[in-house]
Amino acid sequence: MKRNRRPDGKEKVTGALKYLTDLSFPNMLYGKIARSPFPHARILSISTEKARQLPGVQAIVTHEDIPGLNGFGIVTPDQPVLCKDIVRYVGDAVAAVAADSIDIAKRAIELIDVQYEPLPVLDSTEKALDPSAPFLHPDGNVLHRAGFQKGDIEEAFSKCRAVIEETYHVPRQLHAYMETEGGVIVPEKNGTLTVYVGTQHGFKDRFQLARILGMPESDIRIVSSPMGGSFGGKDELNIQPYGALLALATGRPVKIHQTRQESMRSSIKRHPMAITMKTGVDEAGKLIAHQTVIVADTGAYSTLGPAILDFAVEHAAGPYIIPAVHTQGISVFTNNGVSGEFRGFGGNQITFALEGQIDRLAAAIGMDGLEIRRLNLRREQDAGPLGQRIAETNGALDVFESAAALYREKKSASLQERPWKKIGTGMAVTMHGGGLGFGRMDPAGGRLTLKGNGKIEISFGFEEAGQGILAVIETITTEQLGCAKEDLSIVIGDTAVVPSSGSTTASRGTSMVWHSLQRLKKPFIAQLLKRASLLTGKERLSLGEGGIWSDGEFLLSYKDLACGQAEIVAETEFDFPVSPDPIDSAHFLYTYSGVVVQVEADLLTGKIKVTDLHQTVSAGPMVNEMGFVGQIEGGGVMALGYTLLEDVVMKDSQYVTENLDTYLIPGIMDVPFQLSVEPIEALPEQDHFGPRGVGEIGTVAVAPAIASAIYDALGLQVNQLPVHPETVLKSIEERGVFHGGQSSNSGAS
Amino acid sequence: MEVNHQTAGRAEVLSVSFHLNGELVQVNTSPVARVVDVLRDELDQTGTKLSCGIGRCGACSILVNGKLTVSCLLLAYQLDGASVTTIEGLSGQGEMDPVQEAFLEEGGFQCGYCTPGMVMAVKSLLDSNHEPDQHAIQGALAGNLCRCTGYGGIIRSVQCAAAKRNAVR
Amino acid sequence: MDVSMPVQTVVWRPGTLEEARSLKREYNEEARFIAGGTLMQMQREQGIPFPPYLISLEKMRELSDIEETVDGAVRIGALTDLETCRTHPLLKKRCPALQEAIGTISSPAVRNRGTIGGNILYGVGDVIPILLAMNARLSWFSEDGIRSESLSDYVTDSVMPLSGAILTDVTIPSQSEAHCFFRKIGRRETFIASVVTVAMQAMVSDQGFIQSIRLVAGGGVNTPRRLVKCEEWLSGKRLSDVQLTELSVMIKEESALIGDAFASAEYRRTVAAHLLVAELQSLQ
Ligand SMILES: Cc1cc2nc3c(=O)[nH]c(=O)nc-3n(C[C@H](O)[C@H](O)[C@H](O)COP(=O)(O)OP(=O)(O)OC[C@H]3O[C@@H](n4cnc5c(N)ncnc54)[C@H](O)[C@@H]3O)c2cc1C
Repeated sequence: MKRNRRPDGKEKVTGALKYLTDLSFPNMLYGKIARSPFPHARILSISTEKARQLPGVQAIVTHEDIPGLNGFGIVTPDQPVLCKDIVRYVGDAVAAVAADSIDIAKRAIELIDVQYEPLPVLDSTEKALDPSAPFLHPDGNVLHRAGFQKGDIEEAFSKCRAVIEETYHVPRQLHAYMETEGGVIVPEKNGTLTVYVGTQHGFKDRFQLARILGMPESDIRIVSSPMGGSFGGKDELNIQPYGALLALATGRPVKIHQTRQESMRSSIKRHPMAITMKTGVDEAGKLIAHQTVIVADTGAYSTLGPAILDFAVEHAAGPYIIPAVHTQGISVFTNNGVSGEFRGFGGNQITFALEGQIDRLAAAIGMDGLEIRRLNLRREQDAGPLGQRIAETNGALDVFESAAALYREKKSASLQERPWKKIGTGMAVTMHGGGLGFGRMDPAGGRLTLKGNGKIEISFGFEEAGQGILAVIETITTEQLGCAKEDLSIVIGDTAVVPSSGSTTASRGTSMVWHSLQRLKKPFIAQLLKRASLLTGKERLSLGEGGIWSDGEFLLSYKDLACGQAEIVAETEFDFPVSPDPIDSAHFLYTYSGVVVQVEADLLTGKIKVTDLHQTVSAGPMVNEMGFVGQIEGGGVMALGYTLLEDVVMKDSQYVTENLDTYLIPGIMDVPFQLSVEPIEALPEQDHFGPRGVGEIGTVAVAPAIASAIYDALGLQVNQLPVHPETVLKSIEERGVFHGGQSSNSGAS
Repeated sequence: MEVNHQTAGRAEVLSVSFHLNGELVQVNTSPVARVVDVLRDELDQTGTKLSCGIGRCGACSILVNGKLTVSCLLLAYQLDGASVTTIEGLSGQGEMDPVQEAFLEEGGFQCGYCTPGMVMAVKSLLDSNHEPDQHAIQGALAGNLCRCTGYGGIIRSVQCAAAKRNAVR
Repeated sequence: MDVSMPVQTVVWRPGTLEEARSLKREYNEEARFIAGGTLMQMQREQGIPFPPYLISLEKMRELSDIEETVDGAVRIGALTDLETCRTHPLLKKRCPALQEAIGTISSPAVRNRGTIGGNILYGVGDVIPILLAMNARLSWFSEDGIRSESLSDYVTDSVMPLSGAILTDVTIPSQSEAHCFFRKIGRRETFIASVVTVAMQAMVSDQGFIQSIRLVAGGGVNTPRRLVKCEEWLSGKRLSDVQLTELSVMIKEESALIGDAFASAEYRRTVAAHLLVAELQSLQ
């Protein structure tokens, strides 16, 4: 039951599934977007005359052609759809073309003549915060500040036996979804618009597009699933506005599918951060003071920058109970692309720093890394990291003890080191909030319908980006209702037919599906049974495979139950559970992970290879084992890439990495051949919040675990991701590991 | 020497004919059109995916004369007379290839966008190696990137597919 | 700016070398040869357009075989695809290090189409270091007939490709007793451009004397080169007498590898030295 095949599986493995970028329509045109070559410049003039003369060009749009608001952004619409005066990053759009072919559209883009006056480029947060820096936005270059304070931090530091201060740098990570942004926008005969473009929140796209196009939302339909990956990257608008403007301008369907280079240039990335932490312990090894300063490079526009900073601030002390905590964060506008939502949402960055501190403190006071964690980890009844009440679980200690046992086992197994190699073992733990947090609109909902054809239709406004929400819906619905999967029809990803469920983000999908079914099943089943008993005159009925059953006997098919009668509908709307304590952005449901890794360091090259990656995850009951394991393994490897390979390199605010030849995601050879995942499903008896989502937790604590394994192997404490072989090699040479660690006759270098 | 334009085979707009999944097809196209575009746009065979466009991800992998090839680096003229198998050709008459079955059973995919290319690469591996070990699996799939699974499910799928095929044989 | 579309590229597919040569003569600068096309298509995607004429060499079957010559050398046709090279029984027997090197190039799918000739003419191809170490020679079909030159001369300053010559084959002399070594380091474990590639071929006498040795370093944008000074310094020495630390310094200096945004010159040189020195040490 727990290893269900995915309902979208067959179509995927046979190639039959039409992704939205696979669609084509009669009379369809191809769109391309002209983007700024300058990271910061004033637009002096835009001339589209030449381009319009090119045969096959059907429409060109600029800022003059936007009927509504020339701006987008999930929270604050400060990103121009088509720039008028100023461009703020090399992805900023200035014009878009629809033409008979991609080649013609491409050529037309070259023929559009935009005159720019370059402006000073703010390619670092330091430059952007300098008082002499030009303002990128009317209110200056600070997008957001966030903070948290408890206890008297100075006093606490004065009592410490050891204090560690370190600054950690984490890179700009690319989502690298395999399907780049794209789809088709179709103007319908009745004047409405259908947008076949992937997103994580169809209704939000509809809202944003209506505002840009000056159209009522009801005239826009968003078809948004399936997607070839998203990981947070397609939550914000990408090519939709351009396709829509062009479709409206030409009255013809317009397809845009960005090339990888175009995607690299325009898409949002994970926030690079510089995190300075100062942390102290007392005589007994108790953490008593923890001070954090986060500087996030949010790039040119807001999108979800503020919320991501809030999340990082919340998780600064993570699962540790520390009496004095002082956290300050600042999110800074620069000309470095746009940073935004990415699986982990600020948690990955802060956890790398936090766990790094714990390891350093342990080393400083000569305490075992496990001991210091056990001593300081939260217990079941402890408050959340912002002092808020949270759903009680023993997740932190549960995952820790499981990981600790494995860690000890791995460490004591005497492995034969190969020539010029060193092996190291490391571990880390974390906790990660789900949902958007207190004070943020976080509505969810779903609908169950017995259709005229006898199908039980379950529909949600969630999107399928590969994470397996369809499988989750199928499993939970069949389990809760008792029907078979053949009885179901699942409808998602189309604003024309689904209820609003909120965004498919923040690990909320699984959780919200389960909560919806808890609310829907009673009224729905009651209605069905009532009708069944009217029809058959029987009692003691229940839902089962194929239809209504009575005392173990099949009575009536769903088809017969539906036949000729009104549809039976149950609908629910509710909010994601939040803490009873009104603390802004604080979370209520958390998941936990404990990670153990083993690495092999190459003493000749400084390269690190992860040879073992284990994650224990506590997230409530597992809905579907295959989906669960897939999320954790996949998230773990994405984080492995973050730790060792991935960095969108920018120089002077221009991208150096333009495609997957220089931006490196892990290949099959970069990952351990066998990954391992252990779920801890136990929740306290009184818990009624069901399964938590696991979309993010697998990505959070892998980096610090690898860092800790590197320390174990080489004595090097890394403070920068991705870990560069050059740094490692330097450290090897400085420490003489190279000479000392090998055969007696070690002349090399 | 005079060039004999006839024998030298000059082509500006090319009429290429080749076997696609067993059927003879003919396309009039630029000789330097990318095969991935010919398949997707001219022949509406969209199972073959396009992701990086420079041979760096494997999403567009197909078999040309039985050999795994990335169709984004292959040009239309190179198809002339070839025999091409795409993902659509693996499951004839509704019956899936054991490789596809295995991917379904073992969770060898999530978003599914790398899957057609990945399945073709696995197919190519198992056609020449019935019991691939770790080294062979890693070598054969080195050119196919997956962002979702972390490769765990894919590796299990390959092992399962090999077992399935061996059971049939 | 001209408001029109770029001209359509015309592809020629001659069946003989003579035909190919006369096409090249006719179109000259406007034409380029194309073999598997993997490199050229990748570069087109990155902004280097095709010329008006392409002359495909793929129809010339005689350029894609691997055989042993009468004097015991191995001859590989320039149009042989890399995967065929990687698995060919003759190469397995005679040049396993070459096969190992080819196995580090790109992916199976690209190797199935990309040719060994194309990799050599890439200028920084990963077959070059090991072929240099094995003292390979190239044959060209040029305006003045068949020309042969050592690969080493080619990488230093060959004019052949510019003059419109066609690479027909690469020949590896027989050297059965030699110890061959190849190692490539990239930023990822595999399917990745080289940061550092090194190769070595050494003949060591039973008494432990280095009779002959060729050392090569390359990687990234660095054209692979023989480290001639190091080779001379090592020749005739007893292996166990070699001051490895000194050699390491010499390799770093002579390799003169340069860096880029992803790996510095210092790193590349150090790694090249480490890899070669560690290999020599293992022979001691
Ligand atoms: C995704 C990808 C990854 C790669 N990874 C690596 C790697 O890891 N290591 C590495 O070394 N290389 C790598 N390469 C380069 C690869 O080895 C070359 O693309 C391939 O070997 C070129 O062969 P080809 O037949 O396709 O050449 P083509 O693209 O056909 O030609 C390349 C050049 O050589 C000329 N040419 C080819 N053959 C002849 C001939 N016989 N006579 C005269 N001129 C000729 C052409 O005019 C052209 O200038 C990679 C390439 C790609 C696309």
